Amino acid sequence: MTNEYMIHIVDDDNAIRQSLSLLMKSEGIPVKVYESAESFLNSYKQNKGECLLLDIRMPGMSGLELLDELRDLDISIPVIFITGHGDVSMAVQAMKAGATDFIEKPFDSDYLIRRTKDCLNECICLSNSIELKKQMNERLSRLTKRETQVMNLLVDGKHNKAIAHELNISVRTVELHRAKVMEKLNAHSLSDVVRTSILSS
Amino acid sequence: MTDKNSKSNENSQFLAKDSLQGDLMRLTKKQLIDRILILQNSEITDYLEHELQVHQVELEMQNRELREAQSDLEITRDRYADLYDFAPVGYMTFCKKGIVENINITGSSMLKAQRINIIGKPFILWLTSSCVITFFDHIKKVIETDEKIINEFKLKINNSGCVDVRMESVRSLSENKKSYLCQSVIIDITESKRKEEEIHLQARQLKLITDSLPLQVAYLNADEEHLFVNKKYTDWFGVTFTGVIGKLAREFWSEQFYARIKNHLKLALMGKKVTFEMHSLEADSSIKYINVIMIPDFDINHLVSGVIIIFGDITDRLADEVVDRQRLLDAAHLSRLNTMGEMASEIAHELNQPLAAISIYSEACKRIIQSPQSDENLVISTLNDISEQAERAGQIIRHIRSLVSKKELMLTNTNVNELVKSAMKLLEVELRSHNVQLSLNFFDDIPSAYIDKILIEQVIINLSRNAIDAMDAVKSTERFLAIDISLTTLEEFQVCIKDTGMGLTKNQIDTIFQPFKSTKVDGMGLGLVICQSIVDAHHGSLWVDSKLDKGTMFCFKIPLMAEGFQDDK
Repeated sequence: MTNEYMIHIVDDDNAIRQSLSLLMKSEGIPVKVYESAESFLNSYKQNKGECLLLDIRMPGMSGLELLDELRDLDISIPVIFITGHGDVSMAVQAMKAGATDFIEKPFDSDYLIRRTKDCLNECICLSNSIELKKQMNERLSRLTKRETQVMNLLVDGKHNKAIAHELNISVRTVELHRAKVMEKLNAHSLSDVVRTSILSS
Repeated sequence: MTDKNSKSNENSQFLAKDSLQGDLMRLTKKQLIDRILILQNSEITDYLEHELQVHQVELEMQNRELREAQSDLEITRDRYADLYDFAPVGYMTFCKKGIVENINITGSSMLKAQRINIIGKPFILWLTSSCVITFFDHIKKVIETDEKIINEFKLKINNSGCVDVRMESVRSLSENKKSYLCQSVIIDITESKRKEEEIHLQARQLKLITDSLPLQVAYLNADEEHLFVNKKYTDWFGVTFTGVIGKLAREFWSEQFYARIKNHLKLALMGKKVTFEMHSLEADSSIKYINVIMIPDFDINHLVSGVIIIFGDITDRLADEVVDRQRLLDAAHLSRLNTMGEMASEIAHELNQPLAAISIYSEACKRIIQSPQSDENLVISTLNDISEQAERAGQIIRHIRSLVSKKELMLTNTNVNELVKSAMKLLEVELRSHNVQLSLNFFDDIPSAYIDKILIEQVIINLSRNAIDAMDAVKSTERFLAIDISLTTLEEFQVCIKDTGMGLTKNQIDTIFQPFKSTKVDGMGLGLVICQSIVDAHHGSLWVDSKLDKGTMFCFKIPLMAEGFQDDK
């Protein structure tokens, strides 16, 4: 890869910036780091293939606000959000706002590298995402009606108890449905479920 | 030839003078007759004439001398009569039956009666009945013993109540030298007796008042001698009032007790008001905590004439304080647990940062090692980064643990700048998730404060979280939290926590420090109450200042070295 490719990392935590930068460099991917959304906006220059790794929570302008700003400026850079563990609602918000993907801290480095590389190469990214969408839809179609209901509520950020109350079933039943959903979608975590649900639509 | 006028009805001197002159006359006549018998008739006439003339001259001279002597005597007599009558004390003479033989003017005015109405009357007419027997004993002793006898009597005076007198008597011979009389000096002591009684009354009242106090009170003079003590004091030492009056402090108190007090006492005797606390070992080997107050007593020359010492048993009060403090610590601990519960998700995020970094660093490390141009130095520096992040995670955990642990009050010398930094570290995630910009204004080279750092950090965290929540209602670009640390005086630091939230209404400000009044939907309304108790326990103060639509500022100030804390342990 040449310098026509570039990963932009925006995170206010120095250790996260440094470690991500090191990881990307070890893969031979050029990296630029920024400690705030503002400093990214100030020094951003478009590259041929690029990706923005964006911390969702930051003092000053937040990750979501930066995403909005980029859309306003007509900058169509693929964005992968870095979210905290269990921040489902924020992840959903980010995906709906047009993020390419999100990744939970602490994260699976292989997955991150894979997704980043996808973004760098738009073709791969596009075909991959069509492929991905197809795969996701196929998985979703395996769910029963009840399982789909449970999944949608999970994606809304509801807890088991609230879901049980809403669907007028027991918490135990919700737990069973949830396990079934995870299995059928080949998901390892709630964020996988969220990802599948949003990418398919 | 004697001048028999006036004043003389009672005087024998004049009679004596008459008889003296008579004698002279008789003597002269006889001498004349003797000489006449010797002389001739003619001669006789001349001679007689001459002799008579001589005698006449002599007699006139003698007469003059006698008059002068008489005048001198009269002056002296008058002087003595005046001395007797106008002496500042009453003089009275009684016979052995108690009849008044004589009285001077002072004496009669004391009895408010004419002299002629007193002389010849029995004195018991003026005596109150309780004094009669003593009076007769008095006269009897005087007449029998030839000693000066002193007694006090209460006299009843017509129309003007009673008069107290002191009677000092000696015996004297009567004029006819056949019997003894009682010669008395009468002194009016009504006034001095009244004063004395007044003093007695005051002393009694003072004792009554001081006895009813729940304090031990003593008055020591400048020589550290006990002049006055109250009942509590005598009870405390197990002595009687008379058993302590006049005793020296250093002899009366135990050696240790005196040793603990003597320096303070010295200061008080130098004119300084002294207050201190000490403990004393009681007879039953229990320990009492005592508050001691010494107040110097100044005389009219502004010199210290003595010291009032007040001992107060504060054992129970101290015990109450310990209980109160324990309650505060318990409440503060519960509140901290509550805060930590509320912050659990933020704390997890905070902990996630170093963990995420560690996991990425490790992954990168693995790749560096596996790559063909493996860079050993890069691996080592990455491993250092990893251990740094592990330490960061460890610090967060230690910090949380210290906040949730329950412990005794522990005052340590604390750097307030560092304390605020540490609190903000914990709030980092919360600040980020609420999009709040933080500015910290430290006080450079701040002297260390002797405080319980966990409790004060709790106050800072509580107030800051309130501030963060208060700004949820304003635009995310307008959320600023400012913490200012300053010294108000050389002995007091101040921390102000200022937000740019909606501010508080007057009504909210008025009730904000009351328990169970919360402006938050899910608030208990105890956080601020606990903050205030913590600040109070550090002898500081906490207040709020707010402007609607501008924001709110909470400030607290605390002495760098809180008084009273040092001696408590």
